[in-house]
Amino acid sequence: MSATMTHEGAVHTASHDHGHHDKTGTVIFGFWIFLMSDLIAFSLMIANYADAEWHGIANGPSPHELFSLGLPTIETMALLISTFTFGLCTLGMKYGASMKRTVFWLVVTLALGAIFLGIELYEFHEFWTEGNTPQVSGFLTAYYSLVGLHGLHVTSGIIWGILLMVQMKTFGMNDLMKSRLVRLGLFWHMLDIVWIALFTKVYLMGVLS
Amino acid sequence: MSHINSDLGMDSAEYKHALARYVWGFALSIVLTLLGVVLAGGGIFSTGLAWSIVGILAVAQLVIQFWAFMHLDLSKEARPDLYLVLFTFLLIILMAAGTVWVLADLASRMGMGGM
Repeated sequence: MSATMTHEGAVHTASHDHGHHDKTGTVIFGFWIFLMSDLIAFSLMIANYADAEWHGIANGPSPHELFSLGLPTIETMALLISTFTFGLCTLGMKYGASMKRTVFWLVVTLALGAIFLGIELYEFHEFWTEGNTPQVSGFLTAYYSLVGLHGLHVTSGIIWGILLMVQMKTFGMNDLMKSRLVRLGLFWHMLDIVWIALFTKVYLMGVLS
Repeated sequence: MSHINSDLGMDSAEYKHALARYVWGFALSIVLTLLGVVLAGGGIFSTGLAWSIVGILAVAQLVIQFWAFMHLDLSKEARPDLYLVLFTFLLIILMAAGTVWVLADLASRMGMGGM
């Protein structure tokens, strides 16, 4: 493939690209199907949360009493910047960027993901030590499981990214690595899209309730 | 155009065009997020109205990020992805809204607060 990339002949590269597109395209479409099934799982967790927040306060705090917007906003910005930096990473890769540049943006992305995760765990710890554990109410159970499920996804994305960097260093930047990086990128963008829903439903609407 | 390789370099017009889409998506996402935070914290509108606007802002940002970062649009290349996403949202609306409806109905019948 890399040899073909240097060819100037439009017809040649076009036909080659077409054949290549089919194979990689199928793998990426398959990954889309996984992402969408994951999205359905998240949406049902949100539906469960919406009910628990509505009818399951019990003797615990309400969302309005529990949440403030400061830290979650910083957390949201970290993840939002990270989805953009992953975009810079994969877009550059596609247009022939050096491996150094690709790895640099991937490291920036994963570091921002780690900041996001750190803030989330800090908040969990704060709530927990105030006595607001999952056992207190249905609302808190739903909160920890919904936000925690998203946090687990970010954690697995970070581990996946680190493993991919090891593979890239070992095998070089071949088409398989590129395809894997694009799929991790889709996963990461999806996580930020899910976070829009969580941030809005849990924190923004929670403070408004 | 392949998903993972372009014959063009990073100094090409195509690259700059593609990059602009990411930058637009990023800028709009930041604006919409901050607008939502201001509306939720500021007390500019009544609670009910702010709640609705915050929801609309979230849906707008969701569409923008699917377009900017996940390359979803009306082009022929993105069509299979688009159909998949639209069908997924049909399922989500049926299943998530159905869940909330049934559980809220149950709660009101159990005397746990109205619907």
